[in-house]
Amino acid sequence: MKNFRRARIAVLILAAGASAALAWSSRASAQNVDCETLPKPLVYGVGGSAQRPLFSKLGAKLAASSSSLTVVYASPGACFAMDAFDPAEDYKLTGTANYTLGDGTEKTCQLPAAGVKATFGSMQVGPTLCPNVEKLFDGVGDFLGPISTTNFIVPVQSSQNSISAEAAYFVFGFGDQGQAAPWTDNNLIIRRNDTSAVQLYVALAAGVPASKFKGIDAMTNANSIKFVADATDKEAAIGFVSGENADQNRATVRTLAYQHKDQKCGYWPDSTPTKFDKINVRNGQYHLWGPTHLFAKVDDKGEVIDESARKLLGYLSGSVAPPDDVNVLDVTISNGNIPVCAMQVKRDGDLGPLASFQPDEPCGCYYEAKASGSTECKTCSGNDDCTSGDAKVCRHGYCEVK
Amino acid sequence: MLIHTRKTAWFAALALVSLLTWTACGDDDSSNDSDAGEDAGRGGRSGRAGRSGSGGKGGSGDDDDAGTAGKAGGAGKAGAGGKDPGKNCEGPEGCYSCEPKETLQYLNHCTDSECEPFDNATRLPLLKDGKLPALP
Repeated sequence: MKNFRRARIAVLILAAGASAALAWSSRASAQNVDCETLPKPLVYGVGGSAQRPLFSKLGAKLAASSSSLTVVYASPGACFAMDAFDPAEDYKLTGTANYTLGDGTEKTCQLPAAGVKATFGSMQVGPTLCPNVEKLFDGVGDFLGPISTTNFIVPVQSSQNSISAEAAYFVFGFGDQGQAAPWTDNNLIIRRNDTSAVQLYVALAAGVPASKFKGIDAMTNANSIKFVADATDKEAAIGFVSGENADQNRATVRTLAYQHKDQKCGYWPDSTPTKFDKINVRNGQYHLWGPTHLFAKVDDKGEVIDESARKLLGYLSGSVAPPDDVNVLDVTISNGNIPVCAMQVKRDGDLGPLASFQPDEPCGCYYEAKASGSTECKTCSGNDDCTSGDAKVCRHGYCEVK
Repeated sequence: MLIHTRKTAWFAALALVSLLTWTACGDDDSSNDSDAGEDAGRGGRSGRAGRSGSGGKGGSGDDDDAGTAGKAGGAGKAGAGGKDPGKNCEGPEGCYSCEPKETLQYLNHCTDSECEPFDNATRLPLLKDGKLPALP
């Protein structure tokens, strides 16, 4: 157990060292500001690179809002969100992290040399999928945020359209020995490592231990996109990233339809490869999805202790009303995530059993309109406009069923 | 006597058909879907289709079990109704047309979405009889 943690810490130290070296080398042109000098209150977070765009977009809105909350997020890997709250470790963020200005410009800042404690963590998987984490640590809360998917990607030039769980088993479990054409070149099989949420999901779905994947470790979602897109052999390249990363790079990579075990056909997260409605996630037809997990220290009542973290996590989980000038729903949708209020199914645990779900205050119509640009729902300005069928309640400008 | 025999035979046939149809299709009662869908969920597929799936093997939580693979091809015991008399959960191209209640029913329920099948049988030479070999 300790060896895994040490390995992850070593990776962090290397990453921090590399970041520090990079920061030093570029000091002449643009020295990073000290994170501690950013506008207070500051909230430090750590976790997966998949959530970096979400915290960047929300951080920009908050920075420009009346809240004046500054979100500083380091993204060395999903399971570092667990290390940050492991009572057996004195984990501190070092090196550099990211924050975003009110105008949307993402910047890098220098963390204190002595390190700083993260007050929240974020990843797409539950705690126990991380190596050697048997249960969530005492005194730490797990709050569920918006939905994200894991997508298999190929270059846009590839002729491939789908992949099955069994094919993924051969591609990522056997590599060049798997005979799962055309994905048989270890140098073009792009993976992550066992601290990555997307790799943990693929491992769970395909049945390949997350520590035994063949291929090249891209380290981040962004690198996975780049490695796959830039592959010399477009047909042989394959990787996997979070859905929001895949969607934001559709010009260079294409999501494959995924066919789970005993599923009769492969499905995209969306109703077609070119749409953005995420209907197959929302209704349970696409298998590789889950909520964002947000972690923070809590008191005996389960309330987040740090006030800034309580606000930020509350905005995303829906337990705290955001400032009037911050529309978290729009931020979530524009980032490519699915708000829980747009879901029609829920699941129990990581890639666990599905069940029907009806949100208390549904927003499926609004989601469709914002994400895909159209909806068949009736528009409304009040409940009086919602008189036909079962959709009797006006929410976000559309008639919903409740 | 002849009439009686014919009636007996007719009722026997009816009972047999009812029994077969009862066991063949998934149904709305999730308590028995595990059994009902064991065979029904393995219908074959071919080509690109807009709709797919059917009531399949019930249950879930097998995500960490890589030991078996879905069978390709084969029509499965589709066809007639489920437990509810006259209720047929077999939709176009074998999709599950009743209200889904279990994971595989959600994965295979009838939809207007596009889909793209991956033919394990022809594309994965190392997959033998639907069984995945141990990892190297």
